[in-house]
Amino acid sequence: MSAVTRRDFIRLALLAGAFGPAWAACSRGPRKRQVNFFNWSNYIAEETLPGFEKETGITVNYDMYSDEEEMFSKLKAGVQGYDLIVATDYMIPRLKTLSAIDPIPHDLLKNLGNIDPKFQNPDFDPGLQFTVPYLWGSTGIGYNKSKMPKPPSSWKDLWDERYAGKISALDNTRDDIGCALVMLGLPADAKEPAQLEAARDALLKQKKLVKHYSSSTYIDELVSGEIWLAQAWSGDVLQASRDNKQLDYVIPKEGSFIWVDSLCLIRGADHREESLQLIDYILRPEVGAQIANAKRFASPNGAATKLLDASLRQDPRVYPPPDIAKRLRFYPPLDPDTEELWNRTWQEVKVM
Amino acid sequence: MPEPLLRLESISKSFGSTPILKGISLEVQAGEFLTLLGPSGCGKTTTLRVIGGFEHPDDGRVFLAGAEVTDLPPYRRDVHTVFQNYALFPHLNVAENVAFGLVLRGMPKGAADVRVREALALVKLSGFESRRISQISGGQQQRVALARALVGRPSLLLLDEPLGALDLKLRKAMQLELKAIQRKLGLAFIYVTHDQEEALTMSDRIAVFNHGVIEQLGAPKDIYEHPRSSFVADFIGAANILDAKLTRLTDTEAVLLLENEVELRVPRPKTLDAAEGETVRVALRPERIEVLFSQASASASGLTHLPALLREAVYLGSATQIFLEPFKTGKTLVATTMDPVEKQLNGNASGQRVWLEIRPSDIRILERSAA
Amino acid sequence: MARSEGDVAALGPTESLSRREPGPFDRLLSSVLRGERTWASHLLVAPTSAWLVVFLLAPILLILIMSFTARGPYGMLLWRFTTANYVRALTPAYLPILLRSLGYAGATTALCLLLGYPFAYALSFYFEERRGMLIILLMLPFWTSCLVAIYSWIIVLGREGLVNELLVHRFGLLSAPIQFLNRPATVIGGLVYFYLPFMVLPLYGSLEKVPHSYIEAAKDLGANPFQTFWRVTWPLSLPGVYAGSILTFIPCVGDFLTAEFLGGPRTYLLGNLIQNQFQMAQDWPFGSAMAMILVALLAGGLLLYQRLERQGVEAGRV
Repeated sequence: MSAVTRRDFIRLALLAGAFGPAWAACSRGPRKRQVNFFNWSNYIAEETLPGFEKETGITVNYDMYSDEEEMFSKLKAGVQGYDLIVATDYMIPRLKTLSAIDPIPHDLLKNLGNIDPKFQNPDFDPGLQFTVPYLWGSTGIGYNKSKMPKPPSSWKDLWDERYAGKISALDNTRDDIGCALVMLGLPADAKEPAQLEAARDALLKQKKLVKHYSSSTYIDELVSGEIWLAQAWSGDVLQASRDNKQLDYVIPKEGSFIWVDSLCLIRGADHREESLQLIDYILRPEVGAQIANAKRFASPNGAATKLLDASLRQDPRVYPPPDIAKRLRFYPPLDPDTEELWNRTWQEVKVM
Repeated sequence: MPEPLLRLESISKSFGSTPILKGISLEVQAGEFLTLLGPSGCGKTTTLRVIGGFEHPDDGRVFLAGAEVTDLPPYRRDVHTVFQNYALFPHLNVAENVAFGLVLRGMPKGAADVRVREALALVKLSGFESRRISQISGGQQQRVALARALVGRPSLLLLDEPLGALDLKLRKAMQLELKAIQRKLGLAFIYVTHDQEEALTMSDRIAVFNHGVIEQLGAPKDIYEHPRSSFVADFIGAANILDAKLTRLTDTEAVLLLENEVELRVPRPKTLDAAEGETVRVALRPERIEVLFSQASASASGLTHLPALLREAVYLGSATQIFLEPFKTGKTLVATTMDPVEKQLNGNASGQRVWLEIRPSDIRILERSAA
Repeated sequence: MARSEGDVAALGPTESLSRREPGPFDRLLSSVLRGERTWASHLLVAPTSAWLVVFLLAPILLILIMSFTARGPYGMLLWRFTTANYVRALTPAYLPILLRSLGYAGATTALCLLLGYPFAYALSFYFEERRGMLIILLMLPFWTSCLVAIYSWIIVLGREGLVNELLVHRFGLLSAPIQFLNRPATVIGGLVYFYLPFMVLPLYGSLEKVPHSYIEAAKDLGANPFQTFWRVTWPLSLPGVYAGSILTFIPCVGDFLTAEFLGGPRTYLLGNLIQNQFQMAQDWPFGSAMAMILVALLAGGLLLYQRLERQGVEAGRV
């Protein structure tokens, strides 16, 4: 879903590179063996793609996004040339409805069985017809231990006036509305306008304390002490905490969300065969472990679990023990009307 | 002698390394019309700008009504200027332009309106108050500029070629009108022009500028009749400039040998800086040369006759210009005559033999010849 | 690739737009261009007109059409006429952002005028020899991508940035770093930085045209330097003031990069809202309606400018 230093300058590269694959696809013709892969920025181990290229002779044109809606807009607006993308669970029904992705031919993937049975039949894509799970993680609170008088434990800590101006929140409808609902003790898939108004009012109250909404720069600022605590994605914080022992991550006691990012085949992709080869390569236990170890997110690859670093495998923040796990749930699937209501609610928070 | 309205004390001014004014001294009396005359680049406009305060002299001093103003900015001098291009403010209408200076002084609107109406009446623009500057003609703009400068009742008005942009007929009319206004208001005018006729028509005195110095300062008639240098003689009206040797000099008389050929006795001028034996320049006005088509019967007293070849005759309407060769050197003289001469010219006039009649007292001795 | 049938259908009417009769917008464009309209002048403007029709007019019309459609599931467009987007845009919830955007643009314009006027004045009246170099310096920010410039600002103004580094650590003038980023003042500062040239150039253009003789005439009539400026130079430079203000104000209202990178949660502007509708919120119809409201505002500003300019011409201003 996300990555450690999703510094915004990557966006610069994205702006320039967005049309790269399209160009490449046109100019090089279909004979060239290649995959045009569109993934979250900093969301793959350094050696993964070179290893694949070396083994298969297939060139991977790797392109990155830092905002999933931006990626979706691009696909929706008709930017062509991508073969393989990574998308978050709640995005999958949209992509299916818009016929943007193709079913996965299971018979062509030798390693699909490596996926942990827990992830073989998710709500958003029963039977993994369209997706292959890539990494998973949770939304929680990242914080700088040296700044906080006591470690945060509740979403309410993000509403604590003592931390005014030292708080960052994700810039994302699902996380902001969802966590506000959870904090308020309301259903995490609230549909009632009154419930969403309550969430909006809570978020407006929080907005006075928030330094900024960011899905990308908060890690740097946590490290520098410019902010003390942040609504955060697990791997982002954990990856950075390897270098900075002051950083920590907690899943609030009210509970939170987990999400799965999955590989999807773009409909009518020019390089379908090569893409499937790359998916199968990523499904190998050692490759799955390689990516998870590097990026500090949890792997849905059951066969890879035993190959993970012990520090990762045993980290309750990555693989929550049952007592914490029962407080976690997937992002709720929302019907289109509810989704629009959520979006409007979040926009109303932002425009004030 | 009362303190003059304006006094310039040896003003010098250079732009970069080019000297423009080389020690100009000048006095203007109240109510006087002084013209600064000269070719372009002679320093006349710069002198005006020094008086107005737009240029600071490198050296010398400026006095207005006895008080030194050399270092005062324009807006603290009791003089107003009519600019060559009028410089009327395009964002204001006629009345607002004229009232500009009054408003700055804080004059109440009612009083200012009266003054503006008077000023516009003076320049015959009553009823033009609310016109835009872009809606009136060049001549009208000139009048507005004049009204704007007059309305503040300065003791001295500076005019920088104010009629230069007008056509000839309008120009002639405005010359008379300007002079009438100046007389009526009893103002001192300093008027810059390069048009010698304009200068002669309007001025009480003329200062002829050349290369940053005043060559001659005096009444129009004085300057015309008694030019002190060949530059003045040539610039004011037309003049035949000849070389002459001063063969003899007495208290009352000078004997000249014109072009080494013709000897003439002329009255000795009051000022003369040449000695016997030296060569001087002399001037003779074309209208002072009479052309005779037959030898004069008997020489009237004091008149000199010279035979000459007629080279060309140019018909100018009111006059005829005749080019003549009286000397062996081939030097051409110009004569102007108002008489009808077509009959005597017999068609192709060139080469015809004629006689010139000159009154020796019409010959003006100028400066020593450089040669 | 993910285009819905509706998207494809939208292209039909758009293409036919390039063949339509000259409308008010054409007249606007022509009158902006001003001058005699002969066949030759038409020929001269043809390439630009074609370019504008295809790449400016057509997209604006597409946005206009889209602003009257509805948002379907997952952000798809429903080709059904509705004014709901405008109704929503004009609800009180969006009033603060509109006022904030206008306020920021207004403050930026005022600051640009305040900073730019003396510069343009000096450029016109004092620096004849070094004028070219000063104009090049003024244009310097345009030489780099504005994103690069924004990141430079972040590097300079960040908590660990250059300024704080110098003030706190190098010189010890402050005990704690100053919070520059995420503040309205910094966003306005950034906007001033980007739009100053848009103000200075028209100002310079009109100031340079003020003949020196007008200034001398004013002084001659007794105006001190301040009065000369206030009664002559300033009114004559008003066309430049109007042009510069509009050239600054209009793009400022729509700017989103500056607020996005230098601003915080309380500096969210109209441009950010529109950008968000097309990305995060996936509500293109609402984003289009907001964009059209912005276009209407800007077109109104342009018409106002034209009127002021025409008055200026009638007044015989240069």
